[in-house]
Amino acid sequence: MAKEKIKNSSIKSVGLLVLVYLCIALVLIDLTTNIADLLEEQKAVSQEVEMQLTRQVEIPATPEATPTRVQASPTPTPIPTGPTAVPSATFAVEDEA
Amino acid sequence: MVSSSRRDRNLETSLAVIAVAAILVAWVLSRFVSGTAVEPFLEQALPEAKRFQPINGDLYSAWGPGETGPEVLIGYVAIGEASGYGGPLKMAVGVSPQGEVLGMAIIEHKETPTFLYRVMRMDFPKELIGKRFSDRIQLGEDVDAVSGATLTSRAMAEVVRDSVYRVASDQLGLQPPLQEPQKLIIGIPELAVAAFFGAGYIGHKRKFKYTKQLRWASMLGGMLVLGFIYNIPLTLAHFNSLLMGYWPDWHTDLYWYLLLGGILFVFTVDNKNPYCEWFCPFGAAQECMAALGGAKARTPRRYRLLLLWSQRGLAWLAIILGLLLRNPGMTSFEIFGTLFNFTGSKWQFGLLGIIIVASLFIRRPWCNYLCPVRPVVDFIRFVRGWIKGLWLKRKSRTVQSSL
Repeated sequence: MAKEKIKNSSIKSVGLLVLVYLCIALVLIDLTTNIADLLEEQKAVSQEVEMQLTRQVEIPATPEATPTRVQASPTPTPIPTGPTAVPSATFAVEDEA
Repeated sequence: MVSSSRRDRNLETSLAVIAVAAILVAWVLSRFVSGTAVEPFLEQALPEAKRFQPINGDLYSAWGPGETGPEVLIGYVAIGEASGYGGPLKMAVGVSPQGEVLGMAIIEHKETPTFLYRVMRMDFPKELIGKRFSDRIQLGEDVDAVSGATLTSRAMAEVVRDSVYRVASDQLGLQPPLQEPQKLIIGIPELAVAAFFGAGYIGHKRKFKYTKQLRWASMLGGMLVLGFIYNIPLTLAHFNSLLMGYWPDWHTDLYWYLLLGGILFVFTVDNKNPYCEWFCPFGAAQECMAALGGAKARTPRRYRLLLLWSQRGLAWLAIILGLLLRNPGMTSFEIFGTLFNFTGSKWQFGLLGIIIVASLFIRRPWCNYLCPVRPVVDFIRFVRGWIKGLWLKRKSRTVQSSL
């Protein structure tokens, strides 16, 4: 009788332990998913930034032609104020070499 | 020979020191995490624009093709920030040359994912689109808050208002309504939390006869007000925000200060936990289930330490990751919103189901084995005991030397 009681309590203890670890596993999966989503989002953003900053410009074929990179101008040009004003160029084209 | 309790205490002290050191390292490392670039979000805020030109650090003019040829100014995009649930919420807001909100995009946020999901599911941004520089854009006046995500929706409305006002006054020469100085907001949550602390204070008095009844009233009130109506229980995100220095404006987030300040104050003075057993909404939900199923407290002696340290390890991991990612809400793994707001991932719903069923047989399974708040509370208690011990030691030395 006493032996059976001990056995029952031992099964309950192991059951509780398994239940808790199952819950911890669910928490960890959820955390991992959230973090993976965040990192993916950040990666997409940085790729988009990279794309905007390094738009390749095709150059007519010449033997020594090298790809060019479009980069933001280090000194921004004056900002037009009128609603119909034509803005000056924001980007300067530079040779990558 | 060193006794086992002393050995346990020494181990606990060493682990506490290591845990704090790791948190400090994570905090320092997080300072080097660079912010998100805003460029891709300019296009999301104003998709019609073909080109953006910076005016100053957080304002851009947006240019699109004109009907007859040359480019024309089609609007502005302002970058703004306000304090949300877990920390700063940064957005890009597109504004027309007439001072009307055209679009917006969230650049960076520290919100718990379920809160943001709720705001998006309720189409809250649509409510802000079309607002003009002459509108007040105030939650509760001309903008309806998203229930269960009030702080997130308030932050979004605040960014939109500040952005459209900034564009109107700085670029368009228009006069937005005068912004009144921020008023102190005292609503139902603030009054409720003060009442719950008061109930706890009265309930802990030895002469008070109705402690059990008062505790149940406090718990049910907490579950209803802080849980189902407002969904603002204490979470790890609160402590993470505190560690990261994301302290919200006390005028608008008095609740945050009352809750955290009240808990820390009661702990310091009385070494009692005024929250978990008295008005934690999720604890109350578990106790309701326990009352139905006749649940009992079950912690097998054999696995007590293993369960305790697993819970602490999980909380520690969540804090470290939250700090490294600089996002207090991201790693706040509580399933409170899943119960009170019915939002969450499939894993969270699975976990909630297990906890609800287990609550019928085991008293407060979440609180005892998983909740990250408990290890934080244990840590505060440990630090308090340690400081008190040092102080008493010093005091006794002073008395001895004076004799």
